Amino acid sequence: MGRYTLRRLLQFAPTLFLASVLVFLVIVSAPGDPARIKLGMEATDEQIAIERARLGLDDPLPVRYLTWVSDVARFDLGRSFQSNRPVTDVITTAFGYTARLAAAAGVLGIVLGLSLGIVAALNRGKRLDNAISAWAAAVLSVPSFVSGMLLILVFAVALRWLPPSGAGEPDDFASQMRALVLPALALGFPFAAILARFMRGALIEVLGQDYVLTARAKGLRPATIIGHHEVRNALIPTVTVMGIGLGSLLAGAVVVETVFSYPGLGRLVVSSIFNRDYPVVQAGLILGSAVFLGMSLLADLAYGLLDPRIALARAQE
Amino acid sequence: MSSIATSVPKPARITGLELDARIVIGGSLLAIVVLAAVVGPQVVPHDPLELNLDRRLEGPSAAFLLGTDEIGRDILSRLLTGLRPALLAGVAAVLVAAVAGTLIGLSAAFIGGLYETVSMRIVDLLLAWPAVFLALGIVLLIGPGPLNVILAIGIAETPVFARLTRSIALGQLQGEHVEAARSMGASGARIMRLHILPFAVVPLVVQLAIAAPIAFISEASLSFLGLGSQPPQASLGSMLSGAQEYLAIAPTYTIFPAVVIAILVLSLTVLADGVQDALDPRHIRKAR
Repeated sequence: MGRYTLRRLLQFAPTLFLASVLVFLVIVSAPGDPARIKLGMEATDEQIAIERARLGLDDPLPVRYLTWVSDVARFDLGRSFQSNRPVTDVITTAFGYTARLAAAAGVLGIVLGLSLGIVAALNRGKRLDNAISAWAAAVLSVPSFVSGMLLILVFAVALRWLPPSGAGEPDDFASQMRALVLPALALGFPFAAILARFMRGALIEVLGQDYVLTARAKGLRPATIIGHHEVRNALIPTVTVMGIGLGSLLAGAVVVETVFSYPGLGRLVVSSIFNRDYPVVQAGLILGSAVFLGMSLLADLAYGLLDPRIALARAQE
Repeated sequence: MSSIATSVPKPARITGLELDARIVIGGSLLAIVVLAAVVGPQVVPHDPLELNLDRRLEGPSAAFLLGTDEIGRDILSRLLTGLRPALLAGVAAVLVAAVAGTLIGLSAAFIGGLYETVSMRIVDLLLAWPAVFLALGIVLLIGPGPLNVILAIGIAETPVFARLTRSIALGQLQGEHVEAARSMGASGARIMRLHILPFAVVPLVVQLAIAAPIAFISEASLSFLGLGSQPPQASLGSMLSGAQEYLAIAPTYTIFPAVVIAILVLSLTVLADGVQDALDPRHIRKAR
């Protein structure tokens, strides 16, 4: 087990390196001269040349990469062109909101998705199973910005139960939670639908296995068989999907936050793209990439934890 | 000796598709949408760009069947003209992904060595990033606009095709039919085209069916964010971002574009599910 974890962590290093090079290349080749953007249109060519030298823009690429990596490692990402606040501050505030939203949507998706998947598999071919499949197909067919707007229409405009946008009053916990409900639903439902479909498939695969027959022949209680022998084994492939899905929750947040004017990372990055606030966009790219890569690493590690055979096989490779 | 001849694998062929209900329903829905996209722009009741400033944000009426938007443009006409670019963008993005992914996957399996390691590492890396996020980064790099959005979604969906083709090609490269072709002096390109690619056709079709709805959703999302086609051109996603401000005053302005997007994606998902099950060899074996 320890060896497997260590191996995966070691394999992660080159991936991280490659990812940082890709992000760096995107940032370097983004249109616009950072020195000119920083100094404004009135700056003379000479001023710009001095600023370019000061920012290290004339250094060879490998040198610039090293400088950039050490800046990133020290969380020194410059200041936002727009608000002139340090980018790290701007980003962490927004990320806090996004993390809260993603956590709510993630819990909703996992609880709802796994239960629906289990119920569907145990009732395979019956009406309930068909209803759940139809629900999942419908949810996956509606882009999150569309379902978000329909949720606003019903629960905020027509029924007036919940606020249509924003993140609630800063010091009022109840209003913050109320503001979280609709975006979390818009973000969590597609995740639940993916998990429900996957769990159903994985569980049906398990139901026909010999060890389930053995358990039944031993006279174990149905609840024990379902919980210990079936669901546990069906969870193994589902966990991988969960890891990828949690990452895509953050990507979905880009759209959902825009619909609900929710002050998270996604909306920040999109508005910064339009405002050409490159330091903020760059920090968003770096943070997003780190989270996505971290998620897939975690999913891999969890995979080994749940299924000792995988850890063993890979350790012997 | 005949046992050797029969051991040569044959690629699965798309013949006698079981007419799954989902293929029929999804296919006919999709046919209606495509028909609307093709014929629609010719039969629109109004010019989609024509302003009627005295008739803003109206509900459905005889003159404007689905109502008007914030500057009095006919919503039905805008929907009908917005459908064609949306469909073309989705199809083009998926084709970009399929062609690029197949080429990368085939060449990685065939060339091997450092090229394979590096290209597959990059593919794995791109797989870890969700498509919308990746597309956002690419749009940032090459700027907004309809063509760039197609390219961005295409690149974002390439890795799945590359992985798929490579794994199939690696399996077939071990086969005796490839060895036989090689011993007869067939060139690498010929082996890939005639002896490996046919085995990838069915899985690639399935993957195309899965990728298409994702591409449409990504395209609509990016134009909703304002990164796709620019105003005043009608596009499904940007219509909705315009409608959002008037949710309370003119709910139908939001509902109709939302329904069109939902029907388009739903028809594709249902169709994709049907195609996937009909072509999945595991499924066919289980059913029998």
